[in-house]
Amino acid sequence: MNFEPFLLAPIKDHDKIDVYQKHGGYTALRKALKEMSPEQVVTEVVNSGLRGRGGAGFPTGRKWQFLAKGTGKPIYLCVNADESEPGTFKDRELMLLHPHSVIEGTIITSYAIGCHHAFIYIRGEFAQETRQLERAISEANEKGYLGENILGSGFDLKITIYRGGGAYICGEETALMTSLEGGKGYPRVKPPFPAVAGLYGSPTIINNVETLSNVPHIVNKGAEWFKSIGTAKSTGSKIFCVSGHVNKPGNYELPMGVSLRELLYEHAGGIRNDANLKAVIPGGSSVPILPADKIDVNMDFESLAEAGSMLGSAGVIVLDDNTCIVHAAMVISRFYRHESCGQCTPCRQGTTWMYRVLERIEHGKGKPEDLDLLLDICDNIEGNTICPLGDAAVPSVRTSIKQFRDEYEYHIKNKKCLVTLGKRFE
Amino acid sequence: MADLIKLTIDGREIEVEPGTLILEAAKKLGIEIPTFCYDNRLKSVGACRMCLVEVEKSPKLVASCATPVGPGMVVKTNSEKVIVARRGVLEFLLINHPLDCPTCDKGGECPLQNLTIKYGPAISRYGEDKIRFQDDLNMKFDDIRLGPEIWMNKNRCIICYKCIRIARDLAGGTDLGIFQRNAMAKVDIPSELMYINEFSGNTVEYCPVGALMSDSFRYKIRNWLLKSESSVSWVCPDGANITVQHNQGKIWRHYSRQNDNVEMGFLSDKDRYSFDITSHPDRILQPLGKNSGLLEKITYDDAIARMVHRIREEKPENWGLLLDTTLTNEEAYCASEYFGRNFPGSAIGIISELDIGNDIPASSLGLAVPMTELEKSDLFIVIGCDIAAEHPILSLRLKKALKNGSSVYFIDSRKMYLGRFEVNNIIAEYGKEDLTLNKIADLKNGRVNNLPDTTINKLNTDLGKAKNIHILGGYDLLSSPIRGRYYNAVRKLTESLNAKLSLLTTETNYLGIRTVGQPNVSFVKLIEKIENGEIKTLFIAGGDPVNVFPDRERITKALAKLDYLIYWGAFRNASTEHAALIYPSLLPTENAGSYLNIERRLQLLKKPYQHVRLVTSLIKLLTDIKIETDDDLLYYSPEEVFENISLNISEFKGLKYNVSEGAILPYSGISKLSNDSIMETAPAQYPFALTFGRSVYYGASGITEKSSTLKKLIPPQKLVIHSNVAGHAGYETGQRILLETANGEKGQFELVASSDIEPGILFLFGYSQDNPPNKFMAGYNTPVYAKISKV
Repeated sequence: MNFEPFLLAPIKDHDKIDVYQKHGGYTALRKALKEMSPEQVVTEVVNSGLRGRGGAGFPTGRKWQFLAKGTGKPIYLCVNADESEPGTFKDRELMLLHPHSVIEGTIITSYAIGCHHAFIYIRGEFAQETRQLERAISEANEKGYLGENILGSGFDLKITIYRGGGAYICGEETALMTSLEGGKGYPRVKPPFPAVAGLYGSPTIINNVETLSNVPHIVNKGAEWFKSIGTAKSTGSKIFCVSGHVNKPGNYELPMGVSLRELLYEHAGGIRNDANLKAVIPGGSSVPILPADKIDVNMDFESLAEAGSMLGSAGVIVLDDNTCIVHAAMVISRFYRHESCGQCTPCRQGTTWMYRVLERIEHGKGKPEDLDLLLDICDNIEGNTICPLGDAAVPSVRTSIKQFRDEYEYHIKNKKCLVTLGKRFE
Repeated sequence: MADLIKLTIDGREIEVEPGTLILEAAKKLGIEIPTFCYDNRLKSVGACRMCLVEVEKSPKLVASCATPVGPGMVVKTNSEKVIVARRGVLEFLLINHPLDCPTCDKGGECPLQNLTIKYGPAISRYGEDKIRFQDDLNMKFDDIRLGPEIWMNKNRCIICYKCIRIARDLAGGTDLGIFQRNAMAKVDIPSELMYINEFSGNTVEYCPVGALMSDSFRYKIRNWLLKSESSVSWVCPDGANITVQHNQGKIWRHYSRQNDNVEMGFLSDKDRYSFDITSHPDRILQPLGKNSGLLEKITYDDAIARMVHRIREEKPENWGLLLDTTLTNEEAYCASEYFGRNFPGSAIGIISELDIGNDIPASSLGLAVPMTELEKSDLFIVIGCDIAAEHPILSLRLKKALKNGSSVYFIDSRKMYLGRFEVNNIIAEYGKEDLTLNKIADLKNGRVNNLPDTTINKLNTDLGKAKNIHILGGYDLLSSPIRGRYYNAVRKLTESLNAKLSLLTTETNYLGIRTVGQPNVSFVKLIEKIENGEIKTLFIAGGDPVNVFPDRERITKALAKLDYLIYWGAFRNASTEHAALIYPSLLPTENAGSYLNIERRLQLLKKPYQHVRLVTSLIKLLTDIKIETDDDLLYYSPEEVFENISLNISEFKGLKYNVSEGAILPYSGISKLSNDSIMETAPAQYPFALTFGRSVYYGASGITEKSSTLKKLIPPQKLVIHSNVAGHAGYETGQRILLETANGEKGQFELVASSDIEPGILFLFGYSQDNPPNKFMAGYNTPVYAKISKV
């Protein structure tokens, strides 16, 4: 197809402001400040159908419209750069190689929602990416794209970068705000919602890095252009992060709705070592697993939901048939156990319990009743927690058991792995 | 008034105020939704997930303790989904909870046990190892000490955040927190600190499992063996309502007895841990009389006979009576009436650390409004009062108001704190506090701007905005050497601000004793009468006057001068050294009667058990004496005494003993004081004025030192000097120095250099048996001048 990536534009030194400007950078900012009112920017984004790229897929423009008005409190924008979903590495590339698009998107969004102090909450491990953003901010400051009276428009904006301390939970929007305020990254009970009372009790919008990177393009080329890419309900492009047992793992920016088969075999080079595909987790480890016979699905929000999975963050993890699914489920559940914040009972105790059972099965000490027990634990966690981390721990376990139950049963009965025939566990 | 919201819970309709939580609305219908982490006095966290209910149109179950009602909501609290969720949550809580029930303090009053029986799984499916939290691998048990009184067993903690919210929101500290994350998360304190706080006992009471334990109760007795009786705290004038829990004639614990008008269910540690005073081994259990100069055990009949003999021998006008402030109203009235009728011309005084005098009547003392009104003020000016130490329950109300946006200003010769809540301090010069107050009264004109002092500037702004100002005065004001001037300046400020004024006395039932005890002399006048021989026989009704009178040497000498000293009390102490006759007394929590608290609210103490025959109430003792002396006005119960009180004491008119519980006696407003003297300047060799503070654990006639629990909590005694002065003179914190007062007393103390006090004073904080504060005092409202030197 004739799609030209615009988020991951293949421009050398795109992180330098001169190169960025030469290729049309900051023209959207000029257009927004000089020719459009904040309301018009919001309307354009609403009309474009842009949906959040962090995993939830909520319509971005509509979220901005939820902001409480007239409270007398300042409005804040938090850029969620705490990319920690296993299998996802798109924001990283954007911040590393295209930091100015993130900055420009932040400035335009701040203008649209009336924010004068934006925060970038970046994962602590992203040291290099933080440096890139810091450099980009100072470059933008020099050119007058940040600070007071930007481009003579009367609009002021300051951006503060805040580094996280190594917690996946801080990618959850309310935990992010609590961490930014200096507290422990515990999610908050909703209501109140961030758009009403968020950071420091003020109306706050939290947007993902990739979401904001789309905003300058929508302003420049218009909502209709954006809608011409992708599908009717999932407009625009998406950066798909393909990892696992493929020949060419990496970030691929493609229109929404591209088929998973095409993504894996045409773009990512197919399964490595000529192996067969076993399963794909299409949206990061928090979404249901797709078995190999289901990969003729289109990669957009609606189609994947219909197929029984989710687009999520589009972190496509590919498993070939040399993978022991029990081991994979154990590793994934270990992640959620480690990252659970401990605030509410089901996630705190349930994730540990699930990991322990899976670990036992993996090491040859499984019992036949363990599988139904795991499914029951999943049912008891899902929906009963304060934040979605508990819900996120469930799909990998549940769908792996539902789809590969024979493999689990073999593992339990024979105390060894069906796939690697005893080679894998210690 | 906004419209009420209509919703349906379990098929029943109800209308409630907007903002009501679903759980509270269900409670109004009589539906109990189980929870661990919810408490209506603490901020909701929604963490335990036990209260999940089904709400139509909501995709997930909803935490009813953290979700306000919405119009037209349809809630089901007992559907299949809810039952399954509850069982799931309990199963999750139990997978890492140790099977400590046989040895855990909480067993029998444990919400986790109770809810598991009601809603939980009968069998555990957990087959893995439990995580064990062992701080010290050498310990056999996993209990660790968080502080001198609080023990913690982390294995049992279910992370409900109640203790953290109590420590943070109630006490205003950040002592407790959750350390670590995921399943390793548990409540703990930072490693170098200890958990000492005046509300720490509440964390033990409200912990839903046995994770937090009190050292004084741990492993001592099973709670189902305890019987309960209602009473009132006898060590604090705020009158916290307590439940006395006893077994076999011994009080094992004080528990709360939620009274939303007074302490709201939160006892201060002083109220809670004073229970062990009643079972102290030094308790007098049999009358003592002097035989050939030595005090020996005598029979009760002998003791009564000796008293009768003395009554026949002594002239009526040579008798004196001292009433302790922990007496119930009935006992005080009974004694005072007895003396008034039988010993005309005798002296009746109150054992008090403050000499308030007849120029301020009892009905002008205490809170001008009930506590529930007090917390509605938007500006508090607290003058000469360490309210956190003197009135911990009142300080709760101030903290509540602070959270709602009110401001608090302290004015004294030193800085005051309310935990870590943000308060403002204006330091005034000791002996010249009236000048600071007059300056503030002038502010009301608003013409004074940009004052050099930022705090006074802030006060100026707040005064302009405040609609409901309350001024509180306490110990430092009432004991000040310029009391008249100081008080008149406070009154002038009150009038100019159109504020309310409350003078807060510091002793348990002072207001009650003042009203019904009808003293005819002040404590110091009574001592004078002993000194000049007018009083030869003295009856001390309870307490420890030697520890209270602000000149220890003087009162000790006076008591030694008496011909005959009779003591009715619970312990031998400094006051009983020269006693000729001692009667063992009931302590208030073993007695029945009434108290007036700082609001002048009538509260009842009920008798938990019958003590040994020889230990009596004052009413019974006087009745037995009256029988021997053919006095026919006999009382057999507090109710009978109260009937007479309500007939003869105007403030009690119309009240009935049981029915009028909770009634607040009228407040008669503030009056002018005539005395206007200024403080004399310090002599050259003794350049500092010595001021006295207290810990929250010291009070109630000095017998709180008989509580081995409270003794653990009393902080060490220290002497504070201003940092600049220390710097000039070459002193530093931690140094041991010698304090000498102009009236000839000496003591050695550890020094603290701080800028929290006014440079002209030394501040002696705390109590020790070697250096009780009243050793250095020179009388009521008299300045004490002192100097320090290196040891």
